[in-house]
Amino acid sequence: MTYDADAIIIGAGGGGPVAAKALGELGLKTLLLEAGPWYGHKKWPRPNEERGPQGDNNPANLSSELLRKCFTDNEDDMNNYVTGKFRWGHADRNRPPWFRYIPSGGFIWQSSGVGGTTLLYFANSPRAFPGAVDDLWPISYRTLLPYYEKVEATLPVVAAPMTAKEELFFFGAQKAGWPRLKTRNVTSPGYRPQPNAIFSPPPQITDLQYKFNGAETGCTLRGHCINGCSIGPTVAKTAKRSTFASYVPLALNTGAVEIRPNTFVTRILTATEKGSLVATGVSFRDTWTGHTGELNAKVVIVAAGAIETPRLWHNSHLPYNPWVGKGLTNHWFDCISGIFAEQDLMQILGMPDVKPYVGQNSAARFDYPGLGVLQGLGLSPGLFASFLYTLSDSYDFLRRPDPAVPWNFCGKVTGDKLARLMQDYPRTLSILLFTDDEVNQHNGVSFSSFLQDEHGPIPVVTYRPGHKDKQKRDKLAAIAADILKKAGAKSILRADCAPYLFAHMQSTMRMGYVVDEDCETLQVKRLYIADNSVLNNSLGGPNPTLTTQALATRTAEKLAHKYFGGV
Amino acid sequence: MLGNFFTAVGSLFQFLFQRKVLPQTAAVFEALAESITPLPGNPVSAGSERDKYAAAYYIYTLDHYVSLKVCFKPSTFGLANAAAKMLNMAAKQLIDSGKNEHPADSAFASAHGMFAALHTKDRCRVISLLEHLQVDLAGLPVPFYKNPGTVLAVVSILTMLGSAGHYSEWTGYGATRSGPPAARKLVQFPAGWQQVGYPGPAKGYHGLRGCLRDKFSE
Repeated sequence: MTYDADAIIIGAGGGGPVAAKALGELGLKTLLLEAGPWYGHKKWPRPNEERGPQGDNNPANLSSELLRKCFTDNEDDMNNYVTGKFRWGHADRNRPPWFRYIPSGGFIWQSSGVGGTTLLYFANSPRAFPGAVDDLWPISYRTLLPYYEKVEATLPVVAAPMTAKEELFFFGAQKAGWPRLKTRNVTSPGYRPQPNAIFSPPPQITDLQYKFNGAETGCTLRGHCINGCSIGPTVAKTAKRSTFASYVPLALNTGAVEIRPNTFVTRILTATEKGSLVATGVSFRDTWTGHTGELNAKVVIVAAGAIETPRLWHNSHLPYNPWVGKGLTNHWFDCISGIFAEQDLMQILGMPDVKPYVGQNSAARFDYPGLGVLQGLGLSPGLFASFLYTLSDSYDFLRRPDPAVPWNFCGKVTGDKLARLMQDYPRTLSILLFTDDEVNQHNGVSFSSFLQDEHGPIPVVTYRPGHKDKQKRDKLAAIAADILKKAGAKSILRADCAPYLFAHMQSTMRMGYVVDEDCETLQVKRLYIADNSVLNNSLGGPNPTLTTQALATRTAEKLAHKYFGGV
Repeated sequence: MLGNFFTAVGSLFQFLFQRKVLPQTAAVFEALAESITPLPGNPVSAGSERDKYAAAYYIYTLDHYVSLKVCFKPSTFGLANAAAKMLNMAAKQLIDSGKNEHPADSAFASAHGMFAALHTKDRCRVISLLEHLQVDLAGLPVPFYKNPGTVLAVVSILTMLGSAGHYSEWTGYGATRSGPPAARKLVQFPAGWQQVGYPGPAKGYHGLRGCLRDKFSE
C-alpha cells in the first residue's frame, strides 16, 4: 500500500500542531488538515476571499505584515459569531457559520483556522490541579510533569506582567487574606500572576517617549489577545503564542510537515487487520470547491475539538461506545465585577481608573482546588458588555432584592442602568470564574437524525451543570466579590451567567473510556486523539490548553514508539 | 383545529420562502435595541439612526445564523422575520396575561407590532417569558412552533447581540455596514466607544507596573 503520509492530523488548533511538530522532528511525513483559513501567510494573502493553493510546507511564506492586515483589532470584525474572522465556519465570511444546535440556548466560542481557538484564546497556560488528576485519571500527575515542562519551555509560558487592573486584583486578594502561590502545581488556594504563553513586554515599553509600531518582540499591553494578536517582527515571534505562531512554524521548520487549510475531514477510513479495526486514512471535502478526496496514512490523529472529534467518530460509523461525545465539562463560567470610585483608585493605584482595555486580557489569577478558578478579565467594550451584562437567563430588574448577597446587581442589565454602568467601564475591574464542574454522562454532544449540513448530521450540544457545580460556583462568586470589596469596590455586579457560554469544552472522548492512557482509541487501532476531548475531567477548573498540549506531545512520542519504532 | 393547521402551514411556508425583511421586523429590532441600549439622555430612541443600525445588526445576524443542507444543497434559513413575529406574539401573550406593568400603545401596535408598542421594561419581560418558556409555544411561528430548543437557542442571544452591536465598532461602519464583512470600513468613531471612554484600538500602552515575583518553589 502506498501512503500519502506517515501521519494525518485532523485539526490545526490547540493540539494538532503540537503533535505535528513532534512527529516532524522525528522525520515522519505529516499532513495537518485544517477546515478553516490560514491567516498571515503569503500563499493566502486574502484568506477570507480566495481559496488559494491546496497546502504549503514552507516556513518562509509566513508573513507578519499579512497577519496585521487580517487582524484588524475590531471586536465585531474579529469575534462576531456569524461573520467574525474567528468563528466556527468557512473561510469565506459571506457564507453562514457551520451550525451547532444548543437546545438550552447559548453560543460556542470556537474558531476554525490554522491556530483554531488559540487564535482568540487568552493564552492562559496553567497546569491541571494535581488533585484533579491523581487517582482519577489512568495516568498520574507526575507522568504529565515532564510534558508540561516541555510545552512550557517551547511556547514559552511566563508569569504575566502587571498593569493597573492586575495590581488592583492582587491588592484585593492580599487584603482578603489569601496567600500568594509560588508553585505551578497548585494544591491549596491563593493568587498569582497568570502563567501565560505571551512573550514578556519588551524593555522599551517603560520609555514614555517610545512609539509603538506593532513589530516589537513582546507584548505591548494593547489588550487585544481575544481579538487576535499580531504584535511581532515575524509570525514565529508573535507575542501571543497561539499555535499558528508557536508550534506551526516549528512544525514547518522540520521540513516534514505540510498544512492544508480549507480542508474539512468528513470521515475516518478504516480497515480490518488481523481481526482488529485500524485507521487507514480520511475522506475530506475542499470547503471552497466542494470537491472530495481521500488520503491514506499509517496513523490518524484527530485533533478537531470536543465537538467535531466525536462527530467524526459518529459520521465514520465507528464502533459504539457509550462515552463517545459524553461527559462534557465546560467550567460553567460566571463573571463578578467591581466598580471603583476615582478617589479610591487614586489612593491605591495613583491613577483615577483601571482601564480594562490596557494590558493582557487575563493576567491575574486565583486558584482554589476543589472549587475552581478566578481570573482577571479586561476587554474592549463590546465584549466587555457582553460578558458582564448579558449572559444570564434573568434580568436584574426582575429579581427580588436579596440583602444577604454580596452583590448590588445580579443578572442581565439593560436600558438606562446598563448605559450608566458602562459609563463606569474605565473604573470597572472584572473577575472571570471557572467552576470545577463534574463529569456527567448526560452532558455532551449528540447528532441530529434529520438536520444536516454539508459535512453530515449537525452536532447537538447538551450541558446542564449539577447541584454540586452550582454550589462551587456560588462559593467562588462570593470569594470574588470579597476580593473586589476588599480592594475597595463601591458596587459589585454578578453576571450570573447561565450555562450559555461554551469556551472550555472538554472531556467528550475521555481518557480511560474512549482512549487509552496513550490516547489511542480503545476500539480503533492507529487512531489517536490530541485535543481537549481526551481530558478525563475538567482538570479542577484550570484552562485546558496547556494540558492538551502536554498530552499531544506525549501522544506523538508514544505513537512514534509503537508504530514507527521510535524512529 | 383545521384553522391551526393552516396557520402552521402558512407559517412554515413564510419561514422557508419569505426572503424580504418585513416592515414590522425592523420595528421590532429597533424597539429591542432601544430597550437594551438606549441612547444616553434620550429615553425614547426608537426610530433613531442608531436604532436602525442596531436593527440591521440583529437582522443580518439572525438571517445568517443557520445553514442546513436541504435537497443536497446548503441553504441559509433567515430567522429575523420569524424571531420578530415570535416577539410580537409573546408580547401579545404578556398583555393577555396582564403581566405588563405599563399600558401598551395600541395605536403604535397596529403599524409597528405589539412588541414595539410595549414599554422598554415590558419588552424585557417578553424576553424573560420566552427564556423561561412561559408562553404558549403552539402560538409561535415556525421554526419556534412547539419547539422550546429553537426558542431558547435564539432568545438566549438577543440581549447579547444588542449590547455587542452597540458597544463594538459596528456603529462606526456607516453605510458600509450593509455590505459584505470584508467591505465594512470604519467611517466614524463608534458611538458606543465614545459613551464609555474607550479610545479605540492602539498598538500598545505604557501601562507596565512591574511583575509579581514568580519564583517557583519546585
